[in-house]
Amino acid sequence: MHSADLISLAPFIALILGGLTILALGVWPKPVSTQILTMVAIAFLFLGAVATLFWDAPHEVNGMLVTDNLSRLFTQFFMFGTAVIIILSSGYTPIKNEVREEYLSLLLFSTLGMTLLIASQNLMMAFVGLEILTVPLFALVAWQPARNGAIEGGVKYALLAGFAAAFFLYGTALAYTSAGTIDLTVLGAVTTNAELLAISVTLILVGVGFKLALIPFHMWAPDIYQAAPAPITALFASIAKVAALVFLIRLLCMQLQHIWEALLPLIWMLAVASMVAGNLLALHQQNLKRLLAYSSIAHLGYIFVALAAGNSLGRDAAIYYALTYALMNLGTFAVITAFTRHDQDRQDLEEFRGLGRRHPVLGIAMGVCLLALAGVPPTAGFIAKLIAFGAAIEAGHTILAIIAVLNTALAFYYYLRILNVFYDTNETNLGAAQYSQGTLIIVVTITLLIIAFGIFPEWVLGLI
Amino acid sequence: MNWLLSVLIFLPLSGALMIALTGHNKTIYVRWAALTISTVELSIALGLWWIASPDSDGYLYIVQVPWIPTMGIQFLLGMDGLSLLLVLLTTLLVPIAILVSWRSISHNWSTFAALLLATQAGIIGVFLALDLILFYVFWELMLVPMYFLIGLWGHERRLYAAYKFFLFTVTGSLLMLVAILGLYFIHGEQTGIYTFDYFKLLHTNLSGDTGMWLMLGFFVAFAVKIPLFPIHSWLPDAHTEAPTAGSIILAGLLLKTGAYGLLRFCLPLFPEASIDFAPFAMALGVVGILYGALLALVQEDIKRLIAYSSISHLGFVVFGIYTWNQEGLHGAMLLMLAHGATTSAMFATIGMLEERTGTRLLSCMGGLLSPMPRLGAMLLLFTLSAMGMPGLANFVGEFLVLAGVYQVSASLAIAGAMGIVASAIYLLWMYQRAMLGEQSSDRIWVDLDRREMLILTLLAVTVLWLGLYPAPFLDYLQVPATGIIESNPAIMTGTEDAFR
Repeated sequence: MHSADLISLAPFIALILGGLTILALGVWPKPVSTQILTMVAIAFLFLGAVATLFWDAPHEVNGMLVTDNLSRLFTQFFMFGTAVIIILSSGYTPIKNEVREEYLSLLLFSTLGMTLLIASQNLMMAFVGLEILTVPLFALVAWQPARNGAIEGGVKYALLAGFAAAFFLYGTALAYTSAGTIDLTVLGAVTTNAELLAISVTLILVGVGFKLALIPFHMWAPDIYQAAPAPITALFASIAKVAALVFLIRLLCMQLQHIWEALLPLIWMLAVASMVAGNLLALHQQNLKRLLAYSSIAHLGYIFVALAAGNSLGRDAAIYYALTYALMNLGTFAVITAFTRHDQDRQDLEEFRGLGRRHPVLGIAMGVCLLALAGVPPTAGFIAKLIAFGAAIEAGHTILAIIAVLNTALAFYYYLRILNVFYDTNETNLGAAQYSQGTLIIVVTITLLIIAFGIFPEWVLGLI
Repeated sequence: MNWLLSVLIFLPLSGALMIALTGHNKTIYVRWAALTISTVELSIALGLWWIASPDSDGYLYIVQVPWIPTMGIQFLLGMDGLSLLLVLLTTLLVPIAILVSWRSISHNWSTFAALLLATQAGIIGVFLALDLILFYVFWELMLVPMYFLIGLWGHERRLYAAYKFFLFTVTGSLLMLVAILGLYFIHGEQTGIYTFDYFKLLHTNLSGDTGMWLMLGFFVAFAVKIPLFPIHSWLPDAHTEAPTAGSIILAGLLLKTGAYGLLRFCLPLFPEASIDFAPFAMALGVVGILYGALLALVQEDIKRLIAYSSISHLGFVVFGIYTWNQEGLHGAMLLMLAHGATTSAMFATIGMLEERTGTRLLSCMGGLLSPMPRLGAMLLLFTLSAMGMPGLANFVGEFLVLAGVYQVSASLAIAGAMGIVASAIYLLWMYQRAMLGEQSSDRIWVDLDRREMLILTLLAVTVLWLGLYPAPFLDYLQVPATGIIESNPAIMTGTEDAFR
């Protein structure tokens, strides 16, 4: 092993060490305060993020991992996202005393899975990453099992994740059958047996599609979004999905260009189905977390519009959209976390009535995040849609672009509906929210980032 | 002086931010701050008007800063005579909208003022932006605060009206976004320069079908805003349910952005397609004129009546634009200004009337002239202007439009003139039912106070000025109108008669 390899592996090692250190602190003879545990977790995340700066990209480690600009950008972003979720969790009253060593180490291991997945150069590595990402989530969904629906949510997710893993493995096996290799670069160069390879990639797409909750693999999403504690929902809705998505971008847009053409009709169908069904299902949804689950489905549809373009602009658009999508969802769920009641999340939209007036900062932040999700300039959400639809038009998919913009217009209805409730003159009788300083800082930071990335999109586009 | 264009946009925007963050529960401070900011805006616009010479070719002021160079997006603002006058109208109507709301807005003044100023920034941006993406950004920017102005401070059915307004306009503008992107890539493939710069995109070669589709993409967005029949149905609801200030901004300014878009983008960017489309657009215009007038005849709600009359008047604007000759274009542009002043004045007066009577229904009014002579006289002035009385604002514009249309088709001109006749009927009837006749209740009425007199006097002066001496305005419209006429390919190839 060369020293360059070691530098490349440093962020992953930092995450593993972090998870283990926190577990070790848990069995330390003297009781360690929650605050210290949190600080240690964030410190290791920061170390990992800093370690990526020393990568001399692109570098390949043993044909397993590749450390390029894409994996650097998203590794840093996942570290940031996990830190956000840790801070949100520690200020989140329903699980106040349970954000301890298990919770934090599970989060770190899950992040490790994400970073491995997006950096994987090999289908087997990707599978390992996907599983490391998923397994901790079973437990995190069902955190505080006495909650209503917690166990149900955890089991549901575990079962469907099992199915997804099976599809993924089967696809990997077929890829090996067709080409004799599962290295992505080598697979990209193979031209024989194209049909079999296309089928195998389709199966992988199904496996990843479960994670992304694309229509028709979306059934778990609303239930899990509702069942999980808000910070964990934030994890699901943002970085966990984006990890799978970035892997898909790497697979389809960067490595297997020739397969992409064979899969084009399928990507089209997934894009249209996800946009249309996601938006229609969200239209009259009364439960805010479920509504956001459906809106996420629709957003994945827009990202697939960009993927379907298959040109370099489409790839950039998908990457930019993935990042901003995660950011916007993090922001929205951060606000939901801040508004939690002392024993459980507010679920129905009614329970948020008038809160935007009572808490102006959170209200404005929610407004910015939702308008960004809707695609109003000058937020990052607008630029994301602009590039995504632009890529589709450049590729000649005008019909797809028109379907996408009509869906965008439709989606305005439910985003505005949420804001109307937030700014209603009546107020819910459930009382005001009590949130920690940390949560507030997170909310403000993310809101500013969303606007900044909208005005200066080159900050992100330049990194790709 | 060019940097003043950026000030025009960013001053209200930063003012809005400041007021939103600091103005909680400080109503008096917020009102005066908002009024100060909007008055400064007005004086900047007046200053720009003062130093600009109407004879200079092309654009009076230009600001060009790269924004997202990799995608060819710039921060490109330009002001020619047309944008100058529309900016002037905007900066005049916003302080008026603030003054109108002085007492009538009872809750959340800070949010209200912030949204109003943000809308102003968006509208001015629309009138100045010459980069298509920047234009789209401002186009959306004015929409969102307007939605909240209607949805939070409107009347009984405000939410319905706000949704309808927003969904109609946003659908149109998103289709325009597709057309913008289409134009961008076609131009990029032809020349290798990927840019959203208006001046560079002006001379894109477009084959027949592509050009037509792209033109339609733009046209839909503008037609929703204008609004043209059959996509007008958001307007009566939005105008009626909006608070008075919202109605003033909607009728006075937002409708103008649609017509401005046609003049600035639709015709010059897609001349061939626009020529083919002109007969349909004029037909839509004439349908709008007559349909709006007929529906205005039967309205009981006074704000709704004015809303339908707006559809009718804006039909004239579209009419004038698509004649594509000197008279028609001048008339359309002047009518935009005149309608902006007259209709906002009508909405302001009616708002004051509604505060006093507590109703918008004509059947519940009557005989209000004698207890409130000043209000009655003002309303009469604006009513006469709206029906095209010579010497008042709308007359010049409508006359010029009809003169322009007559050169293209006499029968269309006659149909348009019928609209003026109808407007005389419904407006005079409205005035009679509201102001004359038996007094319906023996309440004690309060005539206009000084603030309200100030508002209406300002607008009355504008209306009289536009009607009696439009030359200073027409001078500035000369260059833009000539520019649009020169973009007409039929004229350039000397086959003007074929077009007619």
